[in-house]
Amino acid sequence: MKTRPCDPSLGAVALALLGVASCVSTAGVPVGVRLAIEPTGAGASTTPTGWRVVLEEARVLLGPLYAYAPEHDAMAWLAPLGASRARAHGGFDPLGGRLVRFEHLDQIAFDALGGRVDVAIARGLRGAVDEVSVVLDAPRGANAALDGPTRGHHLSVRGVATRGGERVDFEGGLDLEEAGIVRRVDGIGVEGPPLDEGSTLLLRVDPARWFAEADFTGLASPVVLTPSLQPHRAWRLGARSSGAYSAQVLHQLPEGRE
Amino acid sequence: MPTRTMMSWCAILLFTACAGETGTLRVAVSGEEAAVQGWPVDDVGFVDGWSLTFSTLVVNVGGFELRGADAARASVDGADSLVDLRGGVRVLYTLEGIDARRWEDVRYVLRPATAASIDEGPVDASVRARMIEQGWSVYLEATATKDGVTRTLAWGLDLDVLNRGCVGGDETDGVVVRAGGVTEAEITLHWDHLFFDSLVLDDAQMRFDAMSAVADAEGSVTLDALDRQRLADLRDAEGNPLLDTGGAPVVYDPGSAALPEPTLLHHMRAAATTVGHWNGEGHCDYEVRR
Repeated sequence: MKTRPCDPSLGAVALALLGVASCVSTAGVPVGVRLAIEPTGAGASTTPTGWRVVLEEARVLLGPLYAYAPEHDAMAWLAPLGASRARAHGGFDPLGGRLVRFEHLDQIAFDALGGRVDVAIARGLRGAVDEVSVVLDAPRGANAALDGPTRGHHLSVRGVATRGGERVDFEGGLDLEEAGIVRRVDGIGVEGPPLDEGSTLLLRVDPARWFAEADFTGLASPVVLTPSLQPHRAWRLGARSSGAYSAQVLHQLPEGRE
Repeated sequence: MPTRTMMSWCAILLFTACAGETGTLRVAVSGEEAAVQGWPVDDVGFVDGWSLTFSTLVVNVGGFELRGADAARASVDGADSLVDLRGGVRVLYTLEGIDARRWEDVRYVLRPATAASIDEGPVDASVRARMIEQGWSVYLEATATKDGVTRTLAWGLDLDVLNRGCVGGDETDGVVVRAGGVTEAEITLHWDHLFFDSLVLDDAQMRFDAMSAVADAEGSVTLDALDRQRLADLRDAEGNPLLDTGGAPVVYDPGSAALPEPTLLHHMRAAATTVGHWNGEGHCDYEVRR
């Protein structure tokens, strides 16, 4: 069986490292990055079974959040050769081993029907990001209170579903068990330029996707959604789908530059 | 001798020793017992009581490559292999004279068959022709039975998945090729994944009731029919909510996977991208190209 010979000299490896280093002279430099979250859409959708679902309240606990470098990123290639990774606000991914350029570990109580929220400015690593993961974790601290932002749940909702002359008022809480990767939303695509000083990483949440597959047929109004009901199961699938989220890097040029 | 020089000599000697020794890696492909005898096998089977056997289970495999963390590479030149896994374990590659060392990154591709694909036997000629014509990487025919009910499957999948960074069953990276001998290794394909009810749990269950429910009058379960089962609202053959043996709604959970549509077809296709393993239970990173 024909094989390709291998025998890289130490010198060749050193030259390769120098070459890569010169190509990525600025990647990996710590930069200040703003994290912001905003809702997208109007919180309304029409399901395949003809129900028009309008949300009046939609809240979700978001975080931790991780933004990853592309898998073929030069810095990531260096990692197996022992190149160090910055571990302040980036570099260590407890969830998958990819190079993390930005992370936010705190939990954010987000109103998915409100406006944009500027969450924090933190240190990231300069360079491209192509994917975001966010964890829909259990409520922590004040978020866990029954009178807290999500009434003690991972997500909470209130709304109205109508179909012809039918109307169902509903509300409910969604909790996600700690098993496997149930609580993780991976594969959120990122558009925009690489992270740089002054960048904003904007996460968008589309709550209309939460009930995209819901069927309220046969439910008496008002109803509290529980796991035994189909709309609750639809919500559990929709809220965890990467399609309910998107991300973008916005770069603010320093003052005086155009 | 100064420490730095001693270390340099040690490094050179060690490197020389490693660079000089070679071995042979022999790579087989297997669909395990399930491909040969179906389910149940041992204590593994469908939780909803079905039995299933394959009459055809053909896969197109290629692009086998070893990569070291130091950029060393050893690859298999030549065409892909078309194999019917019902025939049991089949040796595909023998890589002779490769460096005896750990190769950290083992990779291979499941991709559509082409006219260049080599029939590693025993692949039915008409199946081969259809796979090439349709651009399938997997073709299976199977029969499922439960309580006197019979269902048949004939599925062609056009998956194109690079399996890379595969770990061994001992969870170490890649494979260690021993010096002066033959190291046996295996591309292991886990077909139970096609019937998993979860993409987010390690202990996903195999189910078939939701698939059986959309069979046609002849008992055939087609891929188009799977597309009619919406994950958030699975139905039985009478159109009622599909319940498990405990009376709870049957749930398939794709997690955050980006499905084109939230249906059983796309859930199954997403699960199918993860059938590739290495040396038994070792997982790979799955780069889905289609």
